[in-house]
Amino acid sequence: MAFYEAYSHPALLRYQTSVCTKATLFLLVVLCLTYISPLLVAYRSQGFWIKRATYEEQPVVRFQYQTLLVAATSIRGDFVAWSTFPHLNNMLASNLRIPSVSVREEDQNQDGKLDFLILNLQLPLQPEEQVYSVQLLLTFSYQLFRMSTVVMQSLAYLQHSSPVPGAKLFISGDLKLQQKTPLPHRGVYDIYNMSVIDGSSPFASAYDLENIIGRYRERNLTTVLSCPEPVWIIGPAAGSAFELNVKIRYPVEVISYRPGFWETIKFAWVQYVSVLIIFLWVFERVKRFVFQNQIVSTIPLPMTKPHQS
Amino acid sequence: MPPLSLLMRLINVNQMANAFDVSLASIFHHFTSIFIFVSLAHGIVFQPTYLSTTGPSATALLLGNTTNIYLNLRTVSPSNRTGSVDYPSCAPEKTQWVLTKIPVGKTATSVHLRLNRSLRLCSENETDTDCCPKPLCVLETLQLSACVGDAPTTSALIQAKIYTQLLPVNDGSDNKTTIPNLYETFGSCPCDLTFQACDVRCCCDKDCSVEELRLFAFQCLSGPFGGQVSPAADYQCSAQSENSPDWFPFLCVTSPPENNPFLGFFYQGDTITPKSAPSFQRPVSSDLLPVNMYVQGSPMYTSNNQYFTIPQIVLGKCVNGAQVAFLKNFKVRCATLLHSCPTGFPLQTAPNDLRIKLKNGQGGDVMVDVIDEVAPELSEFISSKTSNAVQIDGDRLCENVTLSLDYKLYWDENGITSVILTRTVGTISIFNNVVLTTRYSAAFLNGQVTSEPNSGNPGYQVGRPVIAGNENNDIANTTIIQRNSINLWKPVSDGMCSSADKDPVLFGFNKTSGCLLPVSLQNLTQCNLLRESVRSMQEALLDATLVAKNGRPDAQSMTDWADISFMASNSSTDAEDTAGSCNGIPSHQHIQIWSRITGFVNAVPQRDIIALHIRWKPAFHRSLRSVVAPVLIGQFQECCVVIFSYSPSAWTLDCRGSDIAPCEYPLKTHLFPVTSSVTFMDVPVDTGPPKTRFQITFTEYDCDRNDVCWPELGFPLTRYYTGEPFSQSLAKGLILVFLFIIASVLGTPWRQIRQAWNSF
Repeated sequence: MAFYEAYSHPALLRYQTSVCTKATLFLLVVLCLTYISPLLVAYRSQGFWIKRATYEEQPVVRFQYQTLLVAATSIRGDFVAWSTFPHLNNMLASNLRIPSVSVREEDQNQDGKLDFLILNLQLPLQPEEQVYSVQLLLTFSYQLFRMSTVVMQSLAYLQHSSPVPGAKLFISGDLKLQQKTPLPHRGVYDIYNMSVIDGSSPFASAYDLENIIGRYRERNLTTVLSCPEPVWIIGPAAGSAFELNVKIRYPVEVISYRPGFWETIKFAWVQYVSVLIIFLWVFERVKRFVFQNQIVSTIPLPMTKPHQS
Repeated sequence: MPPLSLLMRLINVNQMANAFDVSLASIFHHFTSIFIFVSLAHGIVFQPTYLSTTGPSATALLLGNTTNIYLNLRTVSPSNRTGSVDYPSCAPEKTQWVLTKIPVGKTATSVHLRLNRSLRLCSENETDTDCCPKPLCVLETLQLSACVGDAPTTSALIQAKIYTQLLPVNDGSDNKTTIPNLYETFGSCPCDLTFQACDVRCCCDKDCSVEELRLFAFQCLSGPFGGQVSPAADYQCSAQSENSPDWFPFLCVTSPPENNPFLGFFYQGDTITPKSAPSFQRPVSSDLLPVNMYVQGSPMYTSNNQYFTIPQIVLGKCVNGAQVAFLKNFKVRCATLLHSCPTGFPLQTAPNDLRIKLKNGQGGDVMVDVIDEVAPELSEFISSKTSNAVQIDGDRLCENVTLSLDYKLYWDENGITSVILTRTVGTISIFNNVVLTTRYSAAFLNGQVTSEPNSGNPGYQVGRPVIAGNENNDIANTTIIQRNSINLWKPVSDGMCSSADKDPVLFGFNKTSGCLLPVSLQNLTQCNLLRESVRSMQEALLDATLVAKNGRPDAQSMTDWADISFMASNSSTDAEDTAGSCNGIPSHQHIQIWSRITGFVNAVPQRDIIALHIRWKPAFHRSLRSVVAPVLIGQFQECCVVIFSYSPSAWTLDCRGSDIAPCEYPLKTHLFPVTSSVTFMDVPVDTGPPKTRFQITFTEYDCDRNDVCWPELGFPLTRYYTGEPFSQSLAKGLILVFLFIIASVLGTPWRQIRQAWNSF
């Protein structure tokens, strides 16, 4: 007659001991080993505390309609310049040349955030003038919202020079964010929400490109115009006007930030528990072996019917 | 218009002709039916024959042969009794509309109507008649008739219902825009769903006959109304009925009946506040008003409230009218291409023009003192080679050209005490388009006119010149230290030592520089002479025996000064000079300046110079530094004077290459470098004992060198964590600890402890 296992249930074995015994000491040691060793294992194997994390966001960028243009018109160093700052234009006197500028910012995917800026600039030239180099400075307001709220004024500076005169310069670039240190994970970060160029200043030093760029690059958060391939169309300026076509896209940025307390703890907890499970299982086996075989002396209680306590 | 559709419309119109109807739409149908017959006879018709406009213009087409046809416009109103409109007439009448005809084809004319009045809402107590007293500005029915002679041939009806235009003030940048009337009913009868048929239970449907109305007069639909809902909502306190629960007065809402969810529901004239976006606007340039007191960065004014200007560089070009800011030093060089003698400012200046009065910032004026100097040498200002004015005489000789304007402005607190302008003039000759480099500077100096500029207070400031000095015993036998400077070579143009300038050593900046010395084979036969001449050249850079320990030394106190220790060669004479080579030539002068942080003023570290060593490094010496460095440090800790010897080395003409000319001709020269350099070295305040090898390799507790160091084990609760303030992370950490304690109290270990406790 064949037998089969009709039913099974675990039986609870109890071992008793008093406080000052080897068993108590053994239990304490096992407890420490079970819970502290996983922490050490997880920590010493690197990457336990996350110190920097990243997220993606498309910034809200608006062109601020502040512009500064310098174009060298001869190899001797003559130049014409124009800006949207009246004080600077007054100082430029005979070097001032007013171009026609058309600007359009477009939201291509209709998500409420502008995607690119198109700037077309026609700089009128005298017949004997030819453009050898162009410096253009544009200012933007730049906002991020997902983690910490960043509001800042930034700039894009493009410079191109060529030994041969050009008729047209085409720039198609990205306005990239550069950060030296990670952003905080929340709060308002608006220490750079001030004009990059002080347009109300009557002093020459306020419009010095060296000053402006020098101060700007000191900041933790800056934007830079990344345009690896400027296209310089060689030739005499057609229609006696130099043409500058700029397209600046506002791409999605990967922004790094310092994780908050709970995020740090959460990722550490995940690692800790996954190591802890192994230790719990191992030491449960060790404890069972020790108590079953009475390696430390305890009083095993007779197996009784477990009643609800 | 196709005859069939006309006929259909005709039938429709006749069917409803007896219905009681005052709506304009019905009026239109009523009358078109009559005039379609008329217009068909002449072949002229308006398309459309009825239009309603809500704006200040309307357009219709007049189809057919429009020659000899003129248009007449008049205002009509339906008669109260019949609800019908007058027959078209060709009698001219004055309306507030302007009528224009534009032919668009052979048989079509476009007719434009434009409202000839403003749609502005009258402001309160306004007397101007060209505005609208009420928000509904124009509500009228116009009859446009095409006439031949005096007889109308066809006509169109235009219903105009025009509201006032509410334009935001200040180009929409003002956020406060009033919305005049949000209550807009959903049509006059919202339940009138079927055109020209009576809708059941719709009591306002004009298509229903009296008999039909009587059927459902007591069960009228209460349709949605845009705001003013006629039966009050059942949550209103006023709507309490007998069936309301007894707690109703506690939870009912007391509010005006207009304030309900339908408020503004059908309102179409809502206003959207435009977002203010940046644009090409001329920024508001506020001219800074003259202030009584100068602060750093504020513009300076002349006594007649003009800006005080000195030529400065803007975008690489000198401009004359650049303003000067208080306490902002500058020094610019302007290059000008001269074709002819300059006549205007700033190259030709009269002392009286420069002798202006400035506001001194304390209520008074201060006069600019002009000191004229004649430039001893023009090479600094003129780049062209034929610059010497004396050699060329002729009509292109320009006299008294202003070559530099150096302002020294002495300030005290918020004012200027005196201004000294040093004007350098010179005579230049215009020869082949000379490039003239002029110099303009303004330096703000604190204190009295006679005092010399300091280099820090009290410690040295980085970037200020190192002050050196010489002892001067005056008659009263007191020692006065005359200030001086420590210099390095500053090569100009061809880099020869004969033309080289000197450049002061600036605190904190390591620097090297040098010049070239032409040496012939004949010179190399007279080594002693060569050595001495090179040494004297190097010594000329440094005409001092003392160096100021701090940036504000006292000229009479020797405690502020330290000796300069020279580490000169004493073995140069021992070396054996061979033909064509000279040993021990002090071709390199190295200055070592030891500085140390001696204290803090407002948490700014103050650096003092504690020693200055000058070392003449012989030419072509390689292994000097490694031999000497330990000696230097060891002796430095005891005393500042270091005597130092070096092995002889040589200047030799190397004739192995292609350039053999200097070796063959005794007077042919070869260029040898004469260099000088300065190094600033920080002496740590307290170095402590040197680290053992174990300390260097054991990085368990050094978090800069070990990513998994032990102090960062509880990273979010340590000072290394910068994601949150420490107080916040501590609070959150305590919350976590609390949760763990709770969990453990309820868990196994606590039960075991409790059992053990109870068994005692």
